[in-house]
Amino acid sequence: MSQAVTAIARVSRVLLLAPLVQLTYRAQAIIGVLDVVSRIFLFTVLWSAVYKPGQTSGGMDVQQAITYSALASLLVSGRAWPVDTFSDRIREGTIVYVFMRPVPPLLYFWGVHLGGMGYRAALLAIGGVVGLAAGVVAPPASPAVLAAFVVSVVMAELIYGCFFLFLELVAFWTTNIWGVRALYFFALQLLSGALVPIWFFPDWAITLLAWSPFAAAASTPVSLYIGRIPADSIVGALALQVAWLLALIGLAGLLWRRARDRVIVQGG
Amino acid sequence: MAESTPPVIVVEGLRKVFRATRRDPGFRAAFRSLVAPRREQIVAVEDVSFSVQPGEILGYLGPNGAGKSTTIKMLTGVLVPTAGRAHVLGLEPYRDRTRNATQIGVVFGQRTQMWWDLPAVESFLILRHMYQVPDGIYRETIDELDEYLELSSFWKAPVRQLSLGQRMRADLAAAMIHRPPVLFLDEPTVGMDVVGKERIRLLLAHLARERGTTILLTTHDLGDVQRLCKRVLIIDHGRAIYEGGLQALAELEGAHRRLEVRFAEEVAAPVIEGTELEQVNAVTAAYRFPANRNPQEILAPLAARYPVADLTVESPDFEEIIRLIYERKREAPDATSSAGTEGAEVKGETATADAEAKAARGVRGPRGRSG
Repeated sequence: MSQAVTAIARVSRVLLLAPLVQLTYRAQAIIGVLDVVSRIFLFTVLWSAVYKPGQTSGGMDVQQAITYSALASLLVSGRAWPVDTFSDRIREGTIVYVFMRPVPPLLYFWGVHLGGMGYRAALLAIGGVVGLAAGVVAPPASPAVLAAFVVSVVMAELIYGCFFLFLELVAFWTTNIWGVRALYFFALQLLSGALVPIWFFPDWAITLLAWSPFAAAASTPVSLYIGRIPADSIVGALALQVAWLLALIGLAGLLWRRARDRVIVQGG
Repeated sequence: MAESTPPVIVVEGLRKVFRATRRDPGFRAAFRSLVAPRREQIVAVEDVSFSVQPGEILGYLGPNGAGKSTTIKMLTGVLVPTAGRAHVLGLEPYRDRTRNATQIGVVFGQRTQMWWDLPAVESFLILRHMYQVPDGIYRETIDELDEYLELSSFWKAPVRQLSLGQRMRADLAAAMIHRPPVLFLDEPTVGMDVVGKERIRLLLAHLARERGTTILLTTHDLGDVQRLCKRVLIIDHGRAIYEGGLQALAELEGAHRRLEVRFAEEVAAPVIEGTELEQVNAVTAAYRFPANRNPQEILAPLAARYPVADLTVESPDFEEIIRLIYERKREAPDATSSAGTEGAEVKGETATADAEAKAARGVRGPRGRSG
């Protein structure tokens, strides 16, 4: 127990890494905000044009579609700028330092990721409040829905962390993952319903994706918020996220051991 | 050398073999490599043994690709040895990596351990937390490091803006935030100016002397070695080719010293037996003579025969000596040189010491690495 406490104390300042780096680059921070704002504007225009007055699609009306796209954009766009990644370190030859400090490398990864998560959560909160004030984002149906949304966002971020770790581990074998990363982010955004709301997909795909870890990484919290997942299914949706999270953490652990052995046996 | 205290670093028969994919240049070869990669074994460290005493600075030298960094990576626990064993303060690094990490500090001069986008002092704070250094000790340590390395003038600037010398000094400080009793320094002065190098040397000498810090120092700068190390280990192709005192190295067969003389009046062809006249210019002359010869044997006849006004005997040229050792090794790959003063060890299973030359050659097993 005390060992766990020490380990967490050791990694505590790493949590500041991602926010500090993001705030260092003013231009990037501003461009990031512009990126989200223009996405939301684009979706607002698009859904307003696509939906006829009073029309619904997949049971969702235009306000729900706009809210969905706005929140999904706020949630996933910050994921495009990861900080201090294993793949960067492998390419630069500094991965060795991650292995020679008294912090287990996997704990270090999660420290950096959780810091990034905090930064994105702040963006989501600020963006959400601004969106509410501007009338782009509809208010949550009840405090309970808002609470479920917050829990579900945390879970989605952790699941996304596992996905990101899988991608990072590829670099232990291939060194460079730039191409893979671009494709991967696109696939993840598409499959998680962040680009196009999940209800515009064909029926079979909706069913498949609803059960997939991709939806759990982005679509689930937003669907909870707009009421696409009804109140009586909230617990089930959260439970599915927990199940995926546990499964992915287990898989990540297995893959990590193989990647780590590659470093300590092969020298990276 | 005092043998009562156990050595801090012990390396015995250490070996590391990598399996690497090799491919010829060109598209066809690239495609072939994609389908059926050709794997090769690369012996990075063939067989290395040595030990380092508390407070000692051991110079760990060798040409590029000799296996120095690989040895250090095994001592930090990042690499698992293929064979042999390594101990640092009684721990086996790769089995006890986290505990070992708290007692060592590492600098790979070519690669920074600091976070590129953040001020150097922010890196120090992250490391302070990682090593759980109490606030008071952290401040004391930082003050001391600042005194030697003059960090405070630039430590609030992002690391990416630092000059190479500043970055290197900050990197050295980053490795010492937790006051490790053992330091592994892989080219800590590479690319630095004279002043910067001197600062680092002063700090390292201070740490070894005052705090008993044990240092394994890899460098291509022989000035570092002359200033800091009493003993050196030279490796090439993953094998030790010389181990011994710096003094003994200076007197190794084939090493030369330079003697410069100014005469009181013009002298014609001032020849001295056992020396080579390198240069003569009216009232000055320069000679080269074997470093293992007693300078008295040369100076006495010189002074007796010619009107000497002034003379200087230069210390042996270490660069020449190191080059000599590398070359000798390449001509006779199975031989291992070693010299017999100041606690030098003769490397090899069978070895004979040549007392007169103060140098010895050992015979080892067949050479296992090509190229």
